[in-house]
Amino acid sequence: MKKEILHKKLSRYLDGEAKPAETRQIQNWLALVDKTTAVASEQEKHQIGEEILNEIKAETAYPLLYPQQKSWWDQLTDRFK
Amino acid sequence: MNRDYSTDSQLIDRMQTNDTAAFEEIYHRYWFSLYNYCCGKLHSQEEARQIVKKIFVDLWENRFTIPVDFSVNRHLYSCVRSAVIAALHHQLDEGTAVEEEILPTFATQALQQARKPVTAPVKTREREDTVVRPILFSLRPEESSFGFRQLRKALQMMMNF
Repeated sequence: MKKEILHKKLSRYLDGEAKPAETRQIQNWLALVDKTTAVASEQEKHQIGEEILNEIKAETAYPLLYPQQKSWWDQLTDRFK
Repeated sequence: MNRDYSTDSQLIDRMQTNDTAAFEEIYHRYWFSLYNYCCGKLHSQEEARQIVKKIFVDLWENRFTIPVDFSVNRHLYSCVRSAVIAALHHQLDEGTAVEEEILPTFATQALQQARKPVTAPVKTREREDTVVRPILFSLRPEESSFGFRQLRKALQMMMNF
């Protein structure tokens, strides 16, 4: 498929004006399962996960606005550290 | 990280009381499958990061307007699908090199794959180990009514087969 044709189809899909066949084609593409995995190792996965979470924290500032309350168990164990 | 075994709906309820630990648990449950999906579709780790980040930022910021019968799973996948289409549209607008990787996946032949059933058929040996054997061994000898005897016979025949 040519790039221009796909661009037009996606524009129509995003505007909710796609024809049924186009919608079906795009939804089939979305449903297609890729077997490749995005990360090489568990360590890399953990690192990327933490990086994205830190970006979310920076954007929403929730750790500042709603600091996490420690559980009674953590509070108890902290006393013996 | 401590695991939290609450259900998604319990986590959503807690998130609505500004419990950030519940939000982070939802994040840890779903971020990777969303990220992997985006990477597979867009062939760009940076785009995938931005999409995952935006989805979770929106989830946190709109937590008070979440409806009662809310399914996190369905919501996140619906968001990621819309975001992938929008990102692909943007990539085509910008003229970034997507032709080689993405355009062939829109071909009719490639899309035939999507019509195949998602679940892979369970191999006979696996089915025997995971389904038949546990049922067979869970039947005690004293349960020797006609129904149980018939069931035991049928299961043994399946295993022999």
